[in-house]
Amino acid sequence: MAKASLAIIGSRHYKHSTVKSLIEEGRKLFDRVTFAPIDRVRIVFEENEAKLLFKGRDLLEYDVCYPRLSSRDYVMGEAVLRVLGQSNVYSPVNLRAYQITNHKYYTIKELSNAKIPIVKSSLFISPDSAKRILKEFGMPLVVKVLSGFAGKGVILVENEKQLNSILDTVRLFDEFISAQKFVKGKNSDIRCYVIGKKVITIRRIGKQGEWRANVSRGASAEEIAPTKEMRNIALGAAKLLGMDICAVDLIESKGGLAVIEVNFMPGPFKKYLGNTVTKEMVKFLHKKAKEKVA
Amino acid sequence: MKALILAGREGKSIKRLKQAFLEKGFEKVDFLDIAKLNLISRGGKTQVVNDGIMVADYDAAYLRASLQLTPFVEPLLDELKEEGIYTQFRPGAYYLNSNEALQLAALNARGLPVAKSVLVVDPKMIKDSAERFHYPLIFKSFKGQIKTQSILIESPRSLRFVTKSIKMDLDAVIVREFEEADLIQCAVIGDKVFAIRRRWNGSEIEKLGRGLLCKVSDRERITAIRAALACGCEIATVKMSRGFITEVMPDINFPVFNEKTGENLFEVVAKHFESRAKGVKLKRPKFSPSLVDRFQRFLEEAFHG
Repeated sequence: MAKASLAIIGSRHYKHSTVKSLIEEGRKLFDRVTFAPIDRVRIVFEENEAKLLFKGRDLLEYDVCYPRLSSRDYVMGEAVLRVLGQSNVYSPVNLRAYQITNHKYYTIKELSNAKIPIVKSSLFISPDSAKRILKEFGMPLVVKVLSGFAGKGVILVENEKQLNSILDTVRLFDEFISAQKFVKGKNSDIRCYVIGKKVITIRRIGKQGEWRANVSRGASAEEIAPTKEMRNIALGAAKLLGMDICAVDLIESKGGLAVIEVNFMPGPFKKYLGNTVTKEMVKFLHKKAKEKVA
Repeated sequence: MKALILAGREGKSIKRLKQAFLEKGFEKVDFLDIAKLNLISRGGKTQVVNDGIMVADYDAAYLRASLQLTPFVEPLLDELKEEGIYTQFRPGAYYLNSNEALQLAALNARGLPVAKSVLVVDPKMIKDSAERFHYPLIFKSFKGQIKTQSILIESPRSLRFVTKSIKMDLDAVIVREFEEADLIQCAVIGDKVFAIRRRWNGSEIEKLGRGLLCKVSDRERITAIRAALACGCEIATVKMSRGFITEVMPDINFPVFNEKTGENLFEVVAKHFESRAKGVKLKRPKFSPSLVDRFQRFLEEAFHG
């Protein structure tokens, strides 16, 4: 049987535990698995050719490359994804998806235009726009300050005074505000992992008094069976952004399900799902490698 | 046709551009502070909103915004394209021009000539490539979008010294072979290229204002246009040295180019907009997004010569 190789390019800003389990699972199926942290990678441009080098090996000679990059890796990360996009290596993600998913509002805009249900969102800088948004969306608002490439975390704004003080800072530093209508839900959200055509779904339940359902903020999670609606939305969002592996976060409201964001490098929720997600990811990547080798 | 000028402030250049658009026959030309716009997405569509001005009513929008505004400009460009409003940039242009590392990768991927270069995050990683380079080298370091250093390196010893002396965490370092030669700075407007030669005096490149008007070869002209297009721009500045592209910027220094060339480049821009925006809105419903992309690719390939 032809040999298959997998390269994983990792973020320098995240724990490598997810990657560790990907490597372990990868070694069970692939003949060669290489993990290359992005700060150990070199791109060499010479005579109209690019090489993506790690310890003397050209990662462009692998069958599959899975870049798991955070928004903070963008300067080098965008170049890596551009070089990969031009090569024959299969990658489950791409540059445009990286740029869009790292911009909460841009993601929502793309999905909305494709008629995928979203939570009403806006991007603005001026106080005049803020007033308009307040009038239309009402309080509270989920606000994210955008600066340069990456965002600075989300804030729940509950009154106009709070919003005005954010606006003052934003104007001072040439930043923008991405605002989303706050949807009062069940203190939970739904994460749909998309791996090829497969959808694995979990419900994340926020800690008492916490409006975010992040596991890092004390939320718990349980695997649930995806409904047809969840599958359609998640697969539709992933297809639109050209991603074979991602996570689509949904919220349940009176009007039904709506996307709140799409995650470029989702963690596997090992505590609640064990190795289910990483196993599926590796299985899918191996299938792609076999198709390529064949 | 109606044109909108989206910029940070209505300075002299913008006023002259406005005048040129009106003289070219645009029935209405308005200026709008880009910071006053906002984008709202709801119920299956997105709107570019501003009190008093309906952006969707315009046929074309000339955009001049700082690269720091990239997170706002990119979804805006995408939306203007969706609305069938012509701009000199295609979506992605601001991402490409605000990240020099990405720009280098994009130029290389399009088969454009770039000098031998290496791109890393950790400066210590350069040593594995450096011995294969010809000196001098240009060494640039970046923290986010900000260029923290740009220096000329004459020898392997200096390179070792520079890489060892960096104490801060960087996001990227680009090391490129440096051509000790004159720099040709081109103003690209559609298929027109105007060039100024900036002399290399043995230690540095002279300032643009001291440069002289020069004629570029057909090959250089096509390379400049292709470089601008590879970076998503139909109007741009392209810098070249000994045939290698060294930088692409999404703007033109109009006062200097007007003075050196003796031409009114605002008029050239207005003429370009007039030809490119004509009928774009009328045709829009017939094009699917993929067809628009194919048309863009066709344009780029046409410029390959």
